Amino acid sequence: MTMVIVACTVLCSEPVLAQFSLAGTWAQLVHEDQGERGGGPRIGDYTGLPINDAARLRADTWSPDKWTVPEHQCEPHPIDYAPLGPASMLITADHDPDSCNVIAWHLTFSWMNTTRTIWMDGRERPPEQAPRTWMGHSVGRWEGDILVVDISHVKEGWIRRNGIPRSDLAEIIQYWILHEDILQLVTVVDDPVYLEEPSVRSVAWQAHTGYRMGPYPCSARVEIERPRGFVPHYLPGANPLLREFSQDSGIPWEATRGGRAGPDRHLGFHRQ
Amino acid sequence: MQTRLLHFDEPDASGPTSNQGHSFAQWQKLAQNRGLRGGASGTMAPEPGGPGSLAVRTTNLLPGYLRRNGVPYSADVVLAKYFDRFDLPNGEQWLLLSTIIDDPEMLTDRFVVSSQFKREQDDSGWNPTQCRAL
Repeated sequence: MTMVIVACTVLCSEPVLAQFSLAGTWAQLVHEDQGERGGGPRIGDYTGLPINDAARLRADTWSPDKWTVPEHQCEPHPIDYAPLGPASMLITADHDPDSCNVIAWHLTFSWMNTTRTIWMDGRERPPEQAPRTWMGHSVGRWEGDILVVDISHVKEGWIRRNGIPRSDLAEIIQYWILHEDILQLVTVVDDPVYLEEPSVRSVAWQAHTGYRMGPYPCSARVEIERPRGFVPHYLPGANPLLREFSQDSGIPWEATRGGRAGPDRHLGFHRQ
Repeated sequence: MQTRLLHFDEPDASGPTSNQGHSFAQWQKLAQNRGLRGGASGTMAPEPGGPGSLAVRTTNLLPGYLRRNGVPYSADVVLAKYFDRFDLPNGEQWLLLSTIIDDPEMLTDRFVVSSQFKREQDDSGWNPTQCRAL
């Protein structure tokens, strides 16, 4: 019996064909994308995002006071933004006891201890009417050495933490790639409501066996007394902070507004 | 415009250092195993077929910069770059370029950055021009 248990343990710990194991603890690397980390991006910085006018209007009228009202204080980051926030990870696996195949990966992010699941058993998407959540519904498959994850059933979230929205109609695909002890994630967001073309971003983690995730308790409370029904916002054209990023960085105002990539959007402005 | 050469048959650098250095490239796939580590043959072979990564190791570089605000790397730097292709449902082909920089003289840990590139349908947007100092 002992030999059987040992053999099963060893076998289940090994990946099967064209796979790698995500299980373990991963330290987030924040060597780039500083604008998305810590205190977050500047208001009015839409650079690099292929947003349309509807997204621009939402972001132009967005107020950071949002994070101060009780109903928003304990929100996790949505599944497509979570990897950019404080996001060291603890990943565990469920195995089929007979085949040893991975049935699911469970990923817990350090920010708010949000947990998502990637189903690896080929299950179908939930019905269209199924509830939409911050983490959505994820189904993974292997394409060679890349774990490809299709994500559906997300609730409305954000693409950048300065008011750039992402709708609940977005389709999200993630590609997980391992090199050495570095885990790369590419997130592709295709949103017919707020994007002119898919948004593509990548982030990295390093395997860190000594990492122990801490609890992240959050309890909402009134930080500032405000009238009942207060909704943080600016009226269109009334946001006094929008041009600060352009003025401080020296990036032309038009170039801070985002939009589909192309020579006119990027190379042209860089040359200026 | 700069041109970088990937050598598939010359793992060792020779000649003077340069801004592009010497790059040795290999196609790589993850070794696979299902059983006791090493298996009966004692080897872990990649699964045949399917996509892999292009792994490039670059040495013999002139000292340069990691960031355009003066953060340097030394001539001892070793760049590991990995090119991975992924295809979007809309048919677009993309490359993920992962760069892992190891420089014990200038860094306390490896420096990791990544970039994404979308494949253009043709080269009509490719119009490099010479740089002229004024």
